[in-house]
Amino acid sequence: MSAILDLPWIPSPRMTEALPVATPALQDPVTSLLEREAEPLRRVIGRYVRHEHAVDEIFQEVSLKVLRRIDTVRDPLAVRGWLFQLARNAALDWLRSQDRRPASPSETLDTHRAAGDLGRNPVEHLMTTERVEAIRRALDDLPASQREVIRLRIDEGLDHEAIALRLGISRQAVEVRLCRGRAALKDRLDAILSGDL
Amino acid sequence: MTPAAAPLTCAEAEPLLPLVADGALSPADDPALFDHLATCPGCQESLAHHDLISLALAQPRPAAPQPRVIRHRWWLALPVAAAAGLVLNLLLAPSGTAPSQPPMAAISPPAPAQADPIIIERDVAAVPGGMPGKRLILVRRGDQVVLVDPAAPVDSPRQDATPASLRY
Ligand SMILES: [Zn+2]
Repeated sequence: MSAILDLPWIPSPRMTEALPVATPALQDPVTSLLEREAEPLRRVIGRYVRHEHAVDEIFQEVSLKVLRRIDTVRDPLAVRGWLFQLARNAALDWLRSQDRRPASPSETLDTHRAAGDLGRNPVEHLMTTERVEAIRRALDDLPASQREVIRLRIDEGLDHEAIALRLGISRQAVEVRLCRGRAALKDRLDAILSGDL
Repeated sequence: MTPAAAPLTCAEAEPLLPLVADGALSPADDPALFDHLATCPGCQESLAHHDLISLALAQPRPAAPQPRVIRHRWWLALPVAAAAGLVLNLLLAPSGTAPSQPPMAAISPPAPAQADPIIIERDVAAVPGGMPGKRLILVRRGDQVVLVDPAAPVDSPRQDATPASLRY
């Protein structure tokens, strides 16, 4: 069987742009890697986005990045983790690029059904107006020191070093506060999801 | 080549997920963690929930929530308006309203079927203002009832009311 013909990203014009001088020697290891990892990667993407066509689109993006950057991975044992991160980042980028107006619960349920993909519970589907509000309230309930680092990170986009400088504390202290705060938000989200708010 | 990293357990991976979600840990920083993430559905789901939190908190905050408003049909404002009768007469007479008319005639909508609902909250009532789209506000404070034109300049009696609770 031909791995090339079976991969949805191969016919893309962008693919030929990306690889004008593609040779079998270059293509084969990568295409076989992608073929082998396609299903796990699509499952990772499916944790974030709802529709199969979006999963296809994002997987295509990931495939192009793999082709372009596979040489930067020095450690063969790190390839799987690197692929995971590529897929996750591509899915998050895709979500951020969409109209991020959170959906109402009925809207997500309807589109979820329409997509025929009940059984998955991707981030896109979980992001309802009510849950966004609940997460904001949970942030407001955090101790001020934890809330402050999360706000500086998310609202102002400061990295941990910059937050440490701003607050006059160590980077380690920033990360301790951030981890505790985020873990508490996650606990609250899990409680909300188990109660199916 | 670096030696194979020891496999991680979920218990070891979980506390690191906030840093992954925060973009502070990459596969280059911790290959073992990301190798675990690539194959562990439980930790993938956990990380996806952390990512959901990041996305939610990055949403622009909506405007401050509106106070709860009790909506009534316009005639339910009649007792308030009647209590304001004297004030209304005083305020409306100079604008050309016939003084002999009952006060409500001046502020009632031309056709009740088309009337917008009047909004009453605590001691505040919005009433149609005679012109299409025009609203006047009745503010009751103790025994006093004041008619306020919300379109008037800011130094109008509107400041005496509680602006946050007004909706019209
Ligand atoms: Zn795990």
